Amino acid sequence: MKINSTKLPAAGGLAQNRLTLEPLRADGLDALDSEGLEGISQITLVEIEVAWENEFQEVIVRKAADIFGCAAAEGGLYDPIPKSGCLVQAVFLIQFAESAERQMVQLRPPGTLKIGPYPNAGLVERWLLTRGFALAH
Amino acid sequence: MNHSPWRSLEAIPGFSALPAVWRRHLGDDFEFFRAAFLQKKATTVRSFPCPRNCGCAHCIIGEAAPASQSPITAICRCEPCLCAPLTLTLAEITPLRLNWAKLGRAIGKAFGLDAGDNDFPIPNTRQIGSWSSEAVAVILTIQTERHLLRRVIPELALLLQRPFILFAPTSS
Repeated sequence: MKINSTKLPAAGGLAQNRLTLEPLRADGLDALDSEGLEGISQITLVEIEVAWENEFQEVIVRKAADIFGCAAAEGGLYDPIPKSGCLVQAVFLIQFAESAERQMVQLRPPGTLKIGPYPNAGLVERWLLTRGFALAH
Repeated sequence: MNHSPWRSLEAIPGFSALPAVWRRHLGDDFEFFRAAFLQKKATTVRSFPCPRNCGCAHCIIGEAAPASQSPITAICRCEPCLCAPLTLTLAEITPLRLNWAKLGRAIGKAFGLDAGDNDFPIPNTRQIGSWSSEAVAVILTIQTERHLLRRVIPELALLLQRPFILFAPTSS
């Protein structure tokens, strides 16, 4: 997995915000809904890292071309986002209206956001603010 | 954070964690819960949860043997490193584990169950007593995920082949 250009930590319009992945747990697929987000046609979760603070500091990394879609295809047998544990990092693929290729966005709370080509950063930030991934300090 | 002990147990796979983690989950109830239901393990851990709660773990360096006089230090492994090294005591890196027997007896006493515990070949599931003259088995299961709980219930039904009472925390 390669991300061409990075911004670290979250900068631009999100410099004063705290990032969180809890909308994935609370809202599920709705957190990725692109409706009303002009310039974004689709958002897909492709990787989630979850850590538990048990004796063994257990960490799982779940990867799929579409994590929510994969869980749904298995009949909802499991929760794509575990109900417990700390959501450490997520990777999304975003299809922008003006771009042929999907772009990778990596979000690691509380303050790290890696985005690909800079011109789309504003759209990503708007999604994060709208869906609750970026909170006011 | 909700300090319900049940929620804490669901959030800690294996029901074994460092005192700092239990304290964060249990809040003011930590000391009571520790005295009543937790027991020290004989081993120490090799990593310590980051105090920033970012999900990473600090690597413990130095000898952690009980007789050792050297300090125990935990260092951040993140790139870039964001935290100062932590100096820890032996007690801070000794995990505390749930004592199922004590918890089962306490629940049994609270509900007036007849004594009698029994392990099952089902993870994190245990008989904690029985109820009524018909000796209906009373089972406690603590699962960290919903799909695990859904799996345990039919397994119990198939295993026991008779009525049973099931206690299970369910987060909300």
